[in-house]
Parts: sequence; C-alpha cells; structure tokens
Amino acid sequence: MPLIDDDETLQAFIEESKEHLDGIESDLLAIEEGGANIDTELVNKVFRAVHSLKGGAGFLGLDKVKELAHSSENLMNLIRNEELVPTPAVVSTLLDATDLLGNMIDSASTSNDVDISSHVEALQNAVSSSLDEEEKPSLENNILLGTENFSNLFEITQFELNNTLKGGNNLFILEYDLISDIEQQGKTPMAVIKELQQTGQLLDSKVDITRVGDLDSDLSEMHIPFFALFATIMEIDLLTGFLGIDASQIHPVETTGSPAAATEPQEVEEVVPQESVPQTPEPVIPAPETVEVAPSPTESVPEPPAPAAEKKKPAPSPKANSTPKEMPKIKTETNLRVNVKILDNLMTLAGELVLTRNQLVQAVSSRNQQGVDTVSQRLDLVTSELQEAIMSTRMQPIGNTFNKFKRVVRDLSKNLGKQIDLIIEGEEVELDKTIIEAIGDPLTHLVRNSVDHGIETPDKRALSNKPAEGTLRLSAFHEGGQVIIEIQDDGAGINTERLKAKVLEMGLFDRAQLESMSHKELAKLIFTPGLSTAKEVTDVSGRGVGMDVVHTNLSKLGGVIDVETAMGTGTTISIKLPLTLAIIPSLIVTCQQERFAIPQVNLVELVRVPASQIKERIEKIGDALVMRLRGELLPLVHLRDALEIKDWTYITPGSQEPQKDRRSNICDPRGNILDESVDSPAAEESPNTEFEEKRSGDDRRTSPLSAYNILVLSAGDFHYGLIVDQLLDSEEIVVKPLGSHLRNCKCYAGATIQGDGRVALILDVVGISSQMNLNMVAEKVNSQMLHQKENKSGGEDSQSLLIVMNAPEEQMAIPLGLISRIERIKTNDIIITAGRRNIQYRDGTLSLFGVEEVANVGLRDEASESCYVIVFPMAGREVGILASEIVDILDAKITIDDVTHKQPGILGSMIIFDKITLLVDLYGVVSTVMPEWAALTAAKESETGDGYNVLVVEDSKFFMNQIVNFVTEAGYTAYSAEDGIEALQVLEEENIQLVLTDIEMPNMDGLELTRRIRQDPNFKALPVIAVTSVAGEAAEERGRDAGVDEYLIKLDREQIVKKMDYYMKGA
Amino acid sequence: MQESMDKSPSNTQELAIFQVGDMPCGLDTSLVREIIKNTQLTKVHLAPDYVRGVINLRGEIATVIDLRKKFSMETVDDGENMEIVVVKSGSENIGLMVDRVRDVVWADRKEITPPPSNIGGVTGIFFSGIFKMKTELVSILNSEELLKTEE
Repeated sequence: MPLIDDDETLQAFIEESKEHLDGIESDLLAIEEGGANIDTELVNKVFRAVHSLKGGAGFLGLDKVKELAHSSENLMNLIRNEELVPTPAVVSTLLDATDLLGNMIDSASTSNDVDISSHVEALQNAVSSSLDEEEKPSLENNILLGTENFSNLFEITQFELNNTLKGGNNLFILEYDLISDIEQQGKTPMAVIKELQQTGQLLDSKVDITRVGDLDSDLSEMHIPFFALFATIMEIDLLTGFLGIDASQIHPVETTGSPAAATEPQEVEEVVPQESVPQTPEPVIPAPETVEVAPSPTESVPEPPAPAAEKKKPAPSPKANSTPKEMPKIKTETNLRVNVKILDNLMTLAGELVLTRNQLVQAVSSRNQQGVDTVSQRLDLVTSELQEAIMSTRMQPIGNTFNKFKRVVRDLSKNLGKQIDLIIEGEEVELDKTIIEAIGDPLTHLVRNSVDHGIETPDKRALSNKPAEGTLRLSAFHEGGQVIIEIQDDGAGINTERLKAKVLEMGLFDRAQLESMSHKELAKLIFTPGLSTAKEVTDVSGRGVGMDVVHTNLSKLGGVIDVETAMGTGTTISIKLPLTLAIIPSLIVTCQQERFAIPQVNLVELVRVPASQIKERIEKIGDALVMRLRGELLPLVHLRDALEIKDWTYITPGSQEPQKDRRSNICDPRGNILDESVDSPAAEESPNTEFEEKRSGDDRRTSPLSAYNILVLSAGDFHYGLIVDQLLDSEEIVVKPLGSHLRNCKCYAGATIQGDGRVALILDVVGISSQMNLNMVAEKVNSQMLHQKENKSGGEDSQSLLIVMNAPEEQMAIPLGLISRIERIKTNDIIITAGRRNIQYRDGTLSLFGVEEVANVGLRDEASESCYVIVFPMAGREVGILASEIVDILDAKITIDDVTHKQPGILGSMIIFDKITLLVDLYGVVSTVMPEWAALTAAKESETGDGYNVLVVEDSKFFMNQIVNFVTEAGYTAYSAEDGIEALQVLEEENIQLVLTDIEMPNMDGLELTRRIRQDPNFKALPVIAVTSVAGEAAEERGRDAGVDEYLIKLDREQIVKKMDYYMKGA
Repeated sequence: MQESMDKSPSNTQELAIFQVGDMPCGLDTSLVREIIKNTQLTKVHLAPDYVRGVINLRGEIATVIDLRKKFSMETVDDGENMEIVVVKSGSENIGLMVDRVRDVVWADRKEITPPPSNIGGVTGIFFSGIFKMKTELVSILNSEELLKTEE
C-alpha cells in the first residue's frame, strides 16, 4: 500500500511515537525489575503505547511498523494477563523490537523495506513458548475479515481474535470516509484513532487507496475509505452516537465457529459479516510472509523461554542491515512541550508589555520625562520577568537524559558479565534544552567508561572484599547558579601509575613534569587525546578515542570536568554546567577601542595593577609573561596579542586621543629593573625609532590610565590573566552565532548586539588559551616556580594581605587566609542591641566589631551610607569586623615591626604603599570585647596540653613570636628553630611530640624538613603541621605530597590550636 | 537601451551592477536580498583576510566579505562609504562589500558570454560570465564560489 503523503499527519505520528517509545523503554526495564510481580498499571501503559503506535502506523500505511508493533503487542498482552513472566530474555526481545521500531519510525518513508522477520520471529517464539499446547495452532491460524463490499480487509490470527473476544467484546469493522467523515468534520485521522482507542480496542486500521476514484470521477463523490477493526463492549446503537458515524458504516463481525477450524495451521479462513452474501469472491490472498517464517507447529516442540532469548542474538545483524546510512531521514521539526501555566504566565507578561508600550508612547508624546522614567523602570521589570518565563520554557528536567542510561547500563553490564546497580538522583534538575541535548553523548561516554573500566567483574570485586554488585550513581544538583552532574562508581579507580607510564611512553610529558603533578592533575590525564589505559580494546570502550572528545565537547558548553579517584575505591567525575547558553551574564571590556564580551562564568576575579607596580608584579619567563598573584604565578596574555591587533594605540593623559603605542612588552623595557626583558628579542624589535615623543612630567607610564586591568579567567583546569584596556560594565547578553566564514576563529564564542546596535564579539576563554598555547606556558610557569622555590635563599615571607581603611587615611592589613568572606552592607542595617552592633545576616545575626573599640585608632566615618564587613570564624561562629573601605589585596614580602604599634587588637605594623599599615589581630579584637568567647576557646584548650612539647620552625621573628604564643597559651611547651637544619637538631635533642613548620625558610625549607622527618624511622609518625602564608590548592598539594599532615594559615590561631589538640590527643 | 529588449525570463537576466575597484560586477538580482549603507562594522581579528567584519542585520550577525580583497585588489581603509550587498548563503546572510552599487539592468542572455580564459587563475573562479554592455564589460559573479568558506 502506498504511503499516505501527508507530511503533517506523518510528522505528528512520528513525534508522538517517539514519545511513546521513550516511555516504553524505561517502563520495560521497570517491568523486568518487577519480574513475576506484575504492575498491571505499568504493563497497561506499555501496551497502550505500542497499541497507539500500531494504530497510527496502520493508518499511514507503514505496514512493517504495524506488523512489528503488533507482534510486540501480542507478547505484552500475555504479560498483562499474567500468562507470561517478563524474564530478562523476554524483555530483551521486546527491547530489541522497540529499538527497531524507533529506527523505522525515524526513517518512516523507507520503513517498509526493513527486514523485520527475525524480530517478529523472536517475538512469536516468546509468545508461543508460553502457550499451552492446544492454544498454539491458533497463533498461526490467520483469519480474514471483511465487510459486504470489501472482503479481506483485515487479517488477524485466531489467537488474537480469541483474546479480543474473551472480555465479552463485540467486533466491528468501522468504515470512515476520510473526506466526509473526518476532513470535513474538522477532525484529524490521528484524533479519530485516539478516540477509538479510548472507547475500545482498535485492532487494526487501514486506508484503502485502491478504492479511491480516478481523476475523472466527480470530486464530490470521491471517497477515501478508512477501515478500522474495532472491538468494544458497546452495542451498535450506542456506537453510532458515540463515534458520530452512521449505522451503515458500522459492520458487526460474527466469528462463531471459527476457532474449531484452527486445526490446519496454514489455512486462511474468511469470516464475512453475517448479513452479507459474499459477492464476486476475490481471490484469497496468500498468507503473508510472517506465517511462512513462523515455525510450523510440527517442528515447534514447546520451546522454553531461554531459546527465545537465544533467538535474539541474530537480531542485531538484521538490525544493522536495516538501518543503512544512506537511509533518508525525515527531518523532524523539534517541538517542545510547555506547561500551560508557563504559557499563561507568558501571556500575562505579553499583556503587561503591551500596556507598558502604550504608557511609553503616551509619556513620550506628552513629553513627560518623569513618566518616561517610570515606564522605563516598568519595562525593565517586565522584560526581565518575560525573559525568565521564556527561559523556563526551554528548561527541561535532566531525568529524561538520565533515564536513558538505565538501558545502557543494563545492556552493557550484561555484555560484560558485571552486576551494576544504577542509582539516579536529581532527575528533576532542569537545564536548558540545548545543553540537555548536547550533554547526552558525553555523558553516555562517561557512563560506558565507568561500566567498562571502572566497575570490576564480580570475581574481582570479591577479591577486594566488595559486594558483587557494583554501584553507579548518576546525580545532578544545583550549586552556585550552576548545575553539577556527578558520575560516581565504586570500581577500581584510575591507576595513575599506569597513566603516567602510558603518557611517558607516548612522550606527551616528561618525567619531571609528571612528578610535579598532583594526584588530581594526574587523574585528569585520562582526557589526553589518544589515551586508553584499558589493557585490551573492548567492544564497549577503550579505543583510545573519546575521553578527550568528551572533554572538548563539555568545554564547548562552558562545562568544567573534575575527576576524583582512589585506587580500589572508585572514581567520581563531576561536570559543572551553566544553566543556559542563550542569555549569559558577561563583562564588557575594551581593547583598542573595540568592545568585547567575556562570559562571567569564566571570570574568576579582576586585578588592577597600578602603573607604579607593573615592574614589580609582572615578569617574564622566557617569552611568557607572568604575574605574581598571592604567591602563585599567573600566565598573562594581552588581548591585543591574542587577537593579533597590529597597530597599538594608547590614550595620552592629556589629549584623550588615541596614539600609536610603541611598547611591545608589558614590563617596560626602558625601565632598568627587570633586566631580563631588556635583552629579550621582542624588546629590540619594538619600533622605537619610528615615533619620537617627548616625555613630559606626567609620563603616561605612571598615569592612572596606564594601569593594567587584568581579568583572571578560568579555562577549564587552569587560570590565566587577560590584559585588557578598559573594563566597562557587566551586562546580560544574548549570544548569537557567527557565520560560517568565522568558524575557524577559535578566539570567539559568538557575538552579541549591544544597546547601541553595534556588534560586540564574545571571547572564548578556552579558545584564547589554546590560541596562545597557554597550557604550555602554564606548565613552564609551574616548573619555573618550583625552580625558584628551590633556589630561594630565604628572606622575608610573602604574605597575602587584605588592605582596608577604617578611619580615613589609616591603613590596616588583615591576613587574607583568615577571612571567610567580605560583605558590603548598608550602615542603616546595623542594629544596636545590648550595646553590641549586629546585622541580620543569612537568617541569623552576625556580631560586628570595630578595631577602634579595642585599639587606639581613628574612628570610622559613621555617616557614610555603606561599609564593609570582613567575616571570619571564631569560637565556632562567624563574626565580622567593620571597615569603611577595601583598598587592595596584595602579596608582599614585608617585614613586620612588632614593637612600635603593638597594642591590644594590633599585632604590629608595616609599610605598604608608602604608608604605615597596622596589622589587625582579629582574635585580639574580639576576645578583648567579648572575653567570654575567648574563655570558651581557652577552656577547651586548658583541658589538654600539659607536658607536651611542640617544635615551632619559623624564620620570621614576628611569626615565631605569634605562634609560640599560641602554643604556650594552649598549654604546650614550645621549642623554636629558625630553619629546617636547626629543627632537625632540636628533634634529635628534645622529646618533641609535634612540629609546626613554616614552608619558606632559608637553608632548608619546610617541605624538605618534612621529607627528612618522614624518612627518619624515629620520627616518621610525628605529626607535622605546615603553617604558611602562601595559600592555594597547588601549594597545599605539594605540602601533602611531602608528607605534611595539615596545611594551615599563619595567624589562624583557632585552627592551629584545634589541630594541635587533635594530634596531641592522638599522640 | 533596455526598453526595447524582450524581458521574458528565458531571454534575459536581471542583474544588479556594482563597482568593485575599477571593475564593474554583476549579480543576479534574485540572489540579492538588500543593499545597506553606512552601517557600523565590527572588525573580527584573526578572521580570514577577506572577511571585513560583522554587522548587525536586524538582530542577526552577518559576515561581511570584502570583494576587493577577494579579487586580490588593493583594499581601502575607508569602509564608511562602501556599500554592502546582502546575499543569502545557506541559512545565513552574508554581506559583500562593494565600492558602490550602480544600477539594476535587464541583461540579454545573448550578450552574456563565458569568461575568457585569460582571467583564469585565483580570481577567475569567482566569475560565471561576462555581460557585454555598450560601454563596458560586466563580470557576473559566481556567488557559490564566492561565498565558499576557505578551509
């Protein structure tokens, strides 16, 4: 039968079928899990879904789809009637059929050429194996049904007919006319089929194209008959009213006596409606192919379900053949289901928008400025609400994607002989449609990888005392405006040693680089292109491609991957994803008078280096620029270099006119401090001679305009700094794609249109880093840093400090490591209760303290509208110190004077930015004002302590004093040593229970000291706590690698005391 | 001169004539969507050299191709006075930057000849024919070749 050429109907059918099929798969898996305890509701649901599919396919002439659906339906029916237990084998057969159905529907136009015989056979075997011996023949016995005018319309098996009539159903053949009964009634064929399925059981349907008149016949008399074989408990008179068709179009089918004839299996019997006399008998259509393929009863000895499962094996081959690549796919338009509530909300907002427009028009025409202002505010509100509402229509739960993995995991684990329990969490977490679609493949890859490489076989698991069944946990949750997806297995973990060996063998890194990598960095090597640690290439994964593709694809989405793994206990891969890609918050910057947008997601922080400090803070290693940022070296890139902008201009302080810039290096080669850059070739190439310019007193190198604005950006696994000319504003931008000619420009993620109608390009943070080979630079910097560390001859410690102002012109510093957060508050929000200042803060109160309450310092300007609160933990709670202004955060090597300005609340003083700066003692301030809080801590401390000896190793006198104070106040006896060598001597001489050591020291640094301690059999169990001012994960990681037990911040008294107590109790 | 011509589509072709450098070029009008002037162009660094930049075409980002560059002519810095002929290529709009749009004419197919072999070479592929006007020769552009992305 020719295919109905009605795109719209076909489209609707395809879409609906896909939805059905999606549901079927997960439901079948649930049915399998239930085993003999059949959830009738669920089985019915699947049955109905397959049934609708069959109905639609029959109408559209997709005969093969119909046939396959029909066979599946038969099997489902048995399960529904509890005549067959859904064993895994049975379910597998059904799943395979469902897969093929999906493929066939995808390419509906060629579905009739698909060979489905093996699937049908497998299904029929499953059915027949469950039947009693006497019922069996009914399966092969086909019956033809027809009306008085049209015989042989439908053909069903005896078995099915019997099943249908069991429930007291009447069987009818309904005759619709597509034109007068459906089209002209404003119905659609699909709607009719649905209607029928609701009232009864639609066994079969077909459109009879052969009866359509030819072109000569009168159009008004044209008929396209549509027949439906319909079973219902309703009587004929009821039915006419219900279906809205004439009684003459309903032909009851009488079927008495037919089952008796079921002895001869190949016989095809014609059952004709009772009142009719068969007219010119049409030749009996030979039994369709299916009957021939089906095993004849003589050779079909009752088969147990197992062989039916065996039968499924050959199935993949016809499946593979049936979906050749050249099969033309019908393009499915992507439709989206939207909650009606959201639509209503959108409608309301659209109404609001119209009203606002009217108001705006009115206000503008009456030149009412105040009105315009109000309306523009309202417009802002309505637009953001509208934006939010529209975004929510695009949001879809991730559960749809997750649930697909049930099948993947089930099939894979079966293949590999593993037992895996898949736990899915956070199905309700919503993400933008485009992201949901794009993460499917990478996630599949990761899941397959976990199943294949991660989770071990039951025997192996038994060896390592794990339960035979492995657990794979897929979870999604929100965190900080992003969605995190975790794939967690309790398998073997990633063998980093083997990874190392493999990477070495491939020559991707050298040994020194690998040695300097942390465990996490090593684990991340799995994303290196061309790498697979699986010993054998399996069918599932391990061809050495894939993980790198996963990484690239997820990075493209703005996702960040993290791997955590432990040998023997499992691996967790977490993916951080943005909620949406269409509208993103971003920072607008300029470079050479051109505007660019940078997604906020990638932005870590902004750093401004004043012109006067450029020389100290920005350096060159080889030809790479780096900046010191809190003890770490940050690779730097100038945006104009990344974009290869040739003619640099700058703005002179006086004229505001752009001029040609002749500096080629950021670290000014004409300054003589950094000798390295002077003889770098780049400096010589700079076109010094072309532009002569007189240097005036307000040299631009020292003017504020020459300060560097550096964006610290996160490009997946590492950070780098991007130097731009100006920072403009942060804006929400709409991402628009760039044309095909610009596809190869890796530096751009797209473009956006700004308020003035101009186009601004969106920078691709990852793209720029790869354009500039920053990965390599970052590595260089790392090794350089190690190198520097080793060569360091000592000196003052570098400190990360927050510089604030309290009283005007009185600068104070607070060690950055102690601070949890900085908040900006309104002065009005400060409440004074019981003589103490508090604010409402995160559902609680936060006590506020001022340094001036304790120390003899200037007063804060109370009149200003807002101020800052520096939040830090103390005595198990959070407290805040007030400051009027935040000046800077800096890393500085500073000598602290702990005599001149020392007083309660002030530890000492130092010179920063040519000013005397007081170092605030956060604990001192609070404990002076609230002695009871300090007592709380002290009480705990005095319980322990006595008799224990602590060795403090520290080269700076100031910190030595501080830490020795902590130690003695906590009740321990302190011994001191100035460097590692001295410390080793003390260790030999005294009975030391714990070592507190600085990292950076002359002669022998803390890491080396720790290594020595760990090597010495007498001390190898000695607790070592590193106290340092160099914060950062990398530094911490290196400390741990050396064998440090804890890594703490200097001056974090509370933590130091707590950890000392902890280790002493253990000692 | 066109009035007397038979304007039936089989015999004539409607051409938009514009100037690129000193070369008159023609493009079938059915390909031309619009002509814009004085629009703000955003330069795209690192783009292929023939890409002049991108423009905002009613909320869509359109790439602008400099035809002078494409024809290996000397480019002009002064993009302000240039005109942009917008053509559709696949699903995107592409702007062709030309010096000046001159006219729309009906060209008699008899007056259109295949390009002579001596304008072959790199730029030769961009022309599908030559239209002989009374006073000058107009090169008819092969838009497909012209809008191809370079690998």
